[in-house]
Amino acid sequence: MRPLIYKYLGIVLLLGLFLPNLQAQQQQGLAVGLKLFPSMVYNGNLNYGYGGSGVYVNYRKKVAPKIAIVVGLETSVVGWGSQSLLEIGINNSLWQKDRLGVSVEWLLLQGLAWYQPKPLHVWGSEVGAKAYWKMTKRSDLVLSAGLRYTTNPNYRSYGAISSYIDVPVKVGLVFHKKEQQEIK
Amino acid sequence: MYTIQNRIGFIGVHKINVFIVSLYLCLSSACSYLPNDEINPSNEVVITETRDYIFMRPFDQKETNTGILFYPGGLVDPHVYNQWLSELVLSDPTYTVIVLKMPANLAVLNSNAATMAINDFPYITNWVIAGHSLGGAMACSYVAAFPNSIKGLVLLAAYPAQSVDLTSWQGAVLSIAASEDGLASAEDIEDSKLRLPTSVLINTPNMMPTNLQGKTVFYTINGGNHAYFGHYGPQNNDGEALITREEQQYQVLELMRQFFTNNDWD
Repeated sequence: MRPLIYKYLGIVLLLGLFLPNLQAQQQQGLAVGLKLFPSMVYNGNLNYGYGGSGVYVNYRKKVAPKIAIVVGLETSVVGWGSQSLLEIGINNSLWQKDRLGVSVEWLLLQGLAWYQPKPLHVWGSEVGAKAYWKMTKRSDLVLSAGLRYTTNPNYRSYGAISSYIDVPVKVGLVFHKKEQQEIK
Repeated sequence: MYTIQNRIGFIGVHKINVFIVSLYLCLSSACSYLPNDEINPSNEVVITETRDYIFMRPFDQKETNTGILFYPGGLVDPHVYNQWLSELVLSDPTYTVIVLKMPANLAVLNSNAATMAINDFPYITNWVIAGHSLGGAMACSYVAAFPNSIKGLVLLAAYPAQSVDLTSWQGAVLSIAASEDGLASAEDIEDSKLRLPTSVLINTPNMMPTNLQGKTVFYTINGGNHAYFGHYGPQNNDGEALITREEQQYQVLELMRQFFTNNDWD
């Protein structure tokens, strides 16, 4: 039997993100969306294919005129199975005009691949360019593409493929409070 | 009055809650079984892994005529079958085994995965599809969708879905159950006879009939359980096995070897 802590780790992580988010929502945006992982490389071998997909939810807090910190959670299905990753990173707004804008975002990823009898540690990093379009005063449509490296080191004990380099494509929505329109 | 609803705008509290619950369900329900530590495939087998499948062939293979496509059970890591499948490969120098990887380890999310492997090995003439549990059910669906691509079907603790009818299929079917299986019950296996080709019951591998086209051979491993078809577990809701994992897998191998030989797939 897997320990009880693993069974409830997912919801604890989610609540840990969700509750502080409610407290600070006035000064930040909430983003939700889908991720697709066209993939280029596994274990250092060039091989194009489909790497999986996932959903993400994160919030971003403005810390400088064009800089926001990003904290969130991704749950996804990839080559080694299902996983949940904590996202922590920085968003830098590069350009904005009328309803359109562009930013870059860098994320560190830490989390777990869900297995029995015990989950395995997964980590990685993701960098991407984002384009956004203001749909309303308080919501944006965001499209993004980038590069992403993830590895599941302990999976080497079971399978041959323990790392991927993907080209994550994301589509999502960002919801703002009135005073925080410019952070994407 | 300043409420949570005000804070999060038009998304709505209930929608966020539904989203979080959905996420959690995804997390908690997609926990797959890893192989047990003792798994140790034969050194005489070359095992190659791609992002889509695990490919096994004898080290000294010069040609291959028979390909065995394997659909893993639901929420089971595909490597849990490497041990006995590598021994199956050694049964005949022309055998090739391809274990298909599934999204989230759920074959129901890609029941047509076999097509890609079949296209990757155009020189293989005899394709047999096998599956454990949910993987077996999806193998049945594949045969129903592409009846002319597959010559044989092997079901391990598995049966076709209610909507799948293979009664008129002219391929050969081997259905292996286990008496202590807590997930695929004897009643489920019995009911599946109505959706599979003509039934033939045997008590030992030696009783395997010849001329198996359009027939289903049923065999029950006494004392076996669901998880012993692979190297994982114990599995939730499974029965307690009365024989060892090695004994159960030896019987599976003997049955499959006899089934393949009697069909002239070598």
